[in-house]
Amino acid sequence: MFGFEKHQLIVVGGGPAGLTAGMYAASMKIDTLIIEGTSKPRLALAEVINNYPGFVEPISGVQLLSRMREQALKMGAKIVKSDVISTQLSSHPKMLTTRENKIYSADAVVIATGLQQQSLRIKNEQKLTGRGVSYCAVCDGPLFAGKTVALIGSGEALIEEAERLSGIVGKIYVIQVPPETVENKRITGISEKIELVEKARPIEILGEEYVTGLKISVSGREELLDVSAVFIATEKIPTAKLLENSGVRTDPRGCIIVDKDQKTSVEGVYAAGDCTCRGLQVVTAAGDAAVAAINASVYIRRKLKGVSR
Amino acid sequence: MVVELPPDVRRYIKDKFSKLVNPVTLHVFTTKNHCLYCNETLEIAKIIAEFSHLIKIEECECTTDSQTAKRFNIDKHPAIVVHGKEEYGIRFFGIPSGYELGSLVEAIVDASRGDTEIPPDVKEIVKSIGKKVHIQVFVTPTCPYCPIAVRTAHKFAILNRNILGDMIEAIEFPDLSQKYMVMAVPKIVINDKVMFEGAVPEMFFAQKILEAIE
Repeated sequence: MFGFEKHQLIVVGGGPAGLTAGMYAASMKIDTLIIEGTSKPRLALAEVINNYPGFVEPISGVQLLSRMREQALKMGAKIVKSDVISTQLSSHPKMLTTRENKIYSADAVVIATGLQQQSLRIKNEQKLTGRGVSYCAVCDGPLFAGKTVALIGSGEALIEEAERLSGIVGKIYVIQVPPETVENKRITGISEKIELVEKARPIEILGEEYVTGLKISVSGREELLDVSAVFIATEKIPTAKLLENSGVRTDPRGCIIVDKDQKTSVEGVYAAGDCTCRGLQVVTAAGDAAVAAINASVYIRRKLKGVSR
Repeated sequence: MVVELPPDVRRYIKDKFSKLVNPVTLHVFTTKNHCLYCNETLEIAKIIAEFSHLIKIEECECTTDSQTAKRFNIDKHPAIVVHGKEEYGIRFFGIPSGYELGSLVEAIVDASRGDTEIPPDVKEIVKSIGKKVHIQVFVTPTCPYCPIAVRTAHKFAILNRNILGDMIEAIEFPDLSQKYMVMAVPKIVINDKVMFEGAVPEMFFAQKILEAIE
């Protein structure tokens, strides 16, 4: 699919921040396109949201997203599903290219790309992804019901996935990478099915067509774990790879740096939601996105009148 | 398992079914022989049908060698086939619960309208396919990404009667899951020839069909 499309504002991301930004900008009669990625937003994994104002009864992440999407469309935003793979943001108009080689241009851009799982770069991790290496316990866990699996990761993500897997699989070897991001007893307290392998480091995921085991190093000594799957649960990192060489400044964690108006270091480029690492809540993502959209809309109108920043 | 829909899900279905145009028939295939979720699948279909007078259920408690099962090419239970404005190849094998309930509701709406929302360039490709295509989408009910792939298969089945789009609940059909080495979902198998995983864009999916029928 080759093609070219021009809009006043392009919002990159279809999570709560992206949909809110799109909804706000469209409601201000700005020609707005939301490019939602092909991966589901993190909110889609939330079974229940019970702290979003106005929703007295709990609502699932998928339902909340569906309503936000509907509202954005109702306000006049257009939505396409694709992945933005490269950007030119410093020039005017700003250009974005999607995986299908379609080029979009816009006067202003709101980045709301959220977070993504960090690869651990273990040998064979990439080769065996989808062949027993999984980043989604809630999706793929049921395929390994009753079996022995390994869970590698850190922080609250590790705790969450250990809780999910313990209700499904037979046994879980848990390895903290990097070590001791959470207290050991929090992990072992989840279920008797969990065996915490302390001071361990994964070396290689074994298997040709699918996972047959995991080679680890425990205090310098190599050991083999007989597992059918390796689940990876690392802290999420901002999806900011597409901003490389764009001039948009990020901090050492990769979080996009924004000011109080959600402006980035590049004129006409705004950011909101988890990719800025601020709040990491649905409500803060929506709030920041509204601020970003309002300021982007003002910027576009000023640009139309020939007034500089 | 008792099938109960929470109030917000009921509201969602009610809202979706306000868009129904033509009558829809859910052909539900159950059997008494070793069928784990036949009763629950029938119950889900009945609950769904209560939301609109335009939806009716045709139940076939029958083996796979019965005349009706053969007409619909049903080779496993439980199954739901969704017919609307036309007799589309929209099928669900296994219980459409969890996130897949949404796939069933959306498929009913599309089948009733006889149309679906899809980019024009993808629509053109799918409509032009002149060979038989069998898409199997393996899912788990807890997978939030899976309905995207199921929806795409069913949208394609709406657009082209040569296309059969099957949702297959991976846990209920372990032999099939093993045959196709389903170790991540959604896993898509086209004509037993092309396989891939993930909720991919519609254009990518359409290209994979072209690859399978080359």
